[in-house]
Amino acid sequence: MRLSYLKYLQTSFRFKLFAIFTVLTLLITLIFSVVYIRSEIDSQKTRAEQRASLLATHLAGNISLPLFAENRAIMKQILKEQAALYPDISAITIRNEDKRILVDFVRTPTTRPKNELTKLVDVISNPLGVSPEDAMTGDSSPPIAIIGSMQLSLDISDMTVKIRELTYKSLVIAFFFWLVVAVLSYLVLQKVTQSFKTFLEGLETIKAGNYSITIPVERNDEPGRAAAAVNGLAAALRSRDEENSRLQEELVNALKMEVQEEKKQLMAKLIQTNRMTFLGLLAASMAHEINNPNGSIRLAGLYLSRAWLDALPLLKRNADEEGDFSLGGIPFSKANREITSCCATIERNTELISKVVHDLRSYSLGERYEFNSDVNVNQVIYNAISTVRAYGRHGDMQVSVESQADLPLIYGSRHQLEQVVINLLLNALQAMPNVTGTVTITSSLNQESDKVDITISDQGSGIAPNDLERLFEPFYSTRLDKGGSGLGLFVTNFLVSQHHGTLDFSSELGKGTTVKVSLPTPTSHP
Amino acid sequence: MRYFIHLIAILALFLPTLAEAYDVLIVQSSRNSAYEEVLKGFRNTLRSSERLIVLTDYAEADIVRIVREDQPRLVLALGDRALKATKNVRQTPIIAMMALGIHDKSSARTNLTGVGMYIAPRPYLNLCQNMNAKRVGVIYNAAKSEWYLRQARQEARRQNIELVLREVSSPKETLSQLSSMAGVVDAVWMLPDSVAITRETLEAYMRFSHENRIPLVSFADAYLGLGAAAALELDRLDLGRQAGEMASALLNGTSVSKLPLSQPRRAVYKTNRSVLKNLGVILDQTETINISSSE
Repeated sequence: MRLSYLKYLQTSFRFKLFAIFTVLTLLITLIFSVVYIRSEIDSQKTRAEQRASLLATHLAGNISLPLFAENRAIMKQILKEQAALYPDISAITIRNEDKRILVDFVRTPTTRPKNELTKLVDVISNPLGVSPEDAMTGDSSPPIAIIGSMQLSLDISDMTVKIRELTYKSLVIAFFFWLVVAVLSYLVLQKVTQSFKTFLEGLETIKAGNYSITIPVERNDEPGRAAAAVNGLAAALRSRDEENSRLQEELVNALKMEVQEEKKQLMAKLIQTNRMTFLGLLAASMAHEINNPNGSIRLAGLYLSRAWLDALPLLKRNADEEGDFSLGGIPFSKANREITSCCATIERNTELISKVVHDLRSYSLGERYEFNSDVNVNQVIYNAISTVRAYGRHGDMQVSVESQADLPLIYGSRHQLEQVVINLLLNALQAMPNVTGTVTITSSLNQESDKVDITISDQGSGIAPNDLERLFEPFYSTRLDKGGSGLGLFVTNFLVSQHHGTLDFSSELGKGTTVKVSLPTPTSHP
Repeated sequence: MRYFIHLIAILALFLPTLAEAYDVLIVQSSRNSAYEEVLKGFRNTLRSSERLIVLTDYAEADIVRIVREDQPRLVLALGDRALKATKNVRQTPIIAMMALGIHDKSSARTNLTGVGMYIAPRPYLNLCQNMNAKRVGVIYNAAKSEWYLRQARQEARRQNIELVLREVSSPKETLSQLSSMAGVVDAVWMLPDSVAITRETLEAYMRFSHENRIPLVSFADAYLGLGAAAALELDRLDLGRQAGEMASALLNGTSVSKLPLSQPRRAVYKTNRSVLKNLGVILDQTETINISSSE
């Protein structure tokens, strides 16, 4: 308990001030007391010295005539009278100019006082007097004539007692003065530091996190103004805290809603992916189902074509011999070309069906991951355009192709590159407003970088700068509400990077977008 | 250094001898206004060639040698120091003034004459009469003032005044002698006696006057300021004239022996009115006047 109180005192501003003030006051009081006592002692001594000098001079003046006449009786009488007048005279010794003692007066021969102040003065003749000759001739008088000396002893025991009393009184007064000042200073400090104490308590409460407290402002001094400022600060913090709580709650709610929305979108994407997977499987199955009859039709067509070719000379001869005849409802002369054409159509279309089915099957079975060193970029572009055209609607939109004929073959996956071009082309077509305009695809060899560039430019609405920064993020799409998966450019970027290529977008709102795919040639790619 | 100073002094003394001879060698004790005033009176009376030597201007002046060398017809000594300096001049006539020692026996010479410092007793006693003082105390030294007291006694008898005389052989006796006059005198007559009055005993006179309410009659106005009631002071200008007349007579061939030591002819009467008023003394003469005396 005592230790904690001492620690409290060590950290108490009020106690420190009080201690400093009282110590300083004590020191100042002591210094002043000592200075005062010393000056009083000096003053007493000076006064005693002056008194002794004056008394001695006075007595010397009185005895100058009897001393000159060496009249001991008169001198003793004068000294007796003077000793009666001045009780502190303890002894007087008078000598003539030959230093011979004429009178030795001692007040109490048996007991001399302990403290005596002795003064020796010369006894001189009247300085105003002039000799008869000087008086008559006007000559100046010679210097003052010394006719003897007088030694005066004063009893200064009283002065010693007075000095002692003065010292005691001064110290007692100084002590009471210091005591009164200390008490007054404590009261004043208590009053003055009350503001600090209140302020500090308020600060500690605020420090503990309670911003709702208001520190009382007791007066308009520094702590009071500081308390007012801290109150304002605490109010601002309280307001900010409330605002933070509200915003946090709103954020939580928003996050909850966003998560639900994203969940919905994700589910839609999952469903879409599932549907595509199913579609792929369906396509593979359907290819198998189509391929068999198509093969039969083709074989039949080949047989019919071969049979027609075999039968045709016979039929021509018969026609020549017997005249034209009807075949399948039309004259042989016309049916001859039609049937030949039909056979060719059957062969061509079945081959086309076979090719389409093969492609569909290859796509769905994942053969696109095969990398070959003979990939023709122009062929990739044409295949992609064919696929997109087969895909469906692009209204009045035109796809213009400007390809460089002698592009070098590159190392890569034809299907992946087709998928890249298809994605970019579809994006370009989807970006065209009013479903009109031209998408230009160019292929070229950049001599400087030794890379094959595929550039796809549209006249669409362009991409906003904020969207441009997030193009390659997965599931980010401006067309999520129109069936966009947000995976197209993510996958495209991935595929291009698989080919050690780069994908650059440049876009201007309202004017269109240009995408450049740069793919390394075998000479540039190790 | 000492020889050098002596050389300068000798040169200073004897160089003027290269000039033409003069009649009067004036030896002055010191430079002060009193001597100047006396000399002024002297020169007003006697127009003659002169040489002035002020003793305080020289460390040591051999007046005898100067007299022997210059052969002046007359030596005028001003002050006691000058009188002493001419002590060994035996042939040349000497007129002494402003010297108390002129009346001393030791100073008596055949070639010495002059004017004394003692004003004749009559004006003093007249003054005492005016103060209604019938008993007048006098302290004196016989060697210095006995000759004067003889005149004073005669004059006192004539004026019916009792002189209460106290003789002192040294200044130290003055105090007791003054005390003995308390209650027996109406006034104290201070003589220019260098034993009876000294700087040390002067205060005793003043204190005696003050304590016993007895007026002091002094010989110099310097004492009026210290408490004397009245003073008869020498008329210095007339003193000079008096000496000038004596010198003129000597230069005209009159023998020194026919010109005895004389007393001053004129005196100036001065009073301290405050002291008179305090002592309750009423004088007939309320203004300062000149009192003439004659031998």
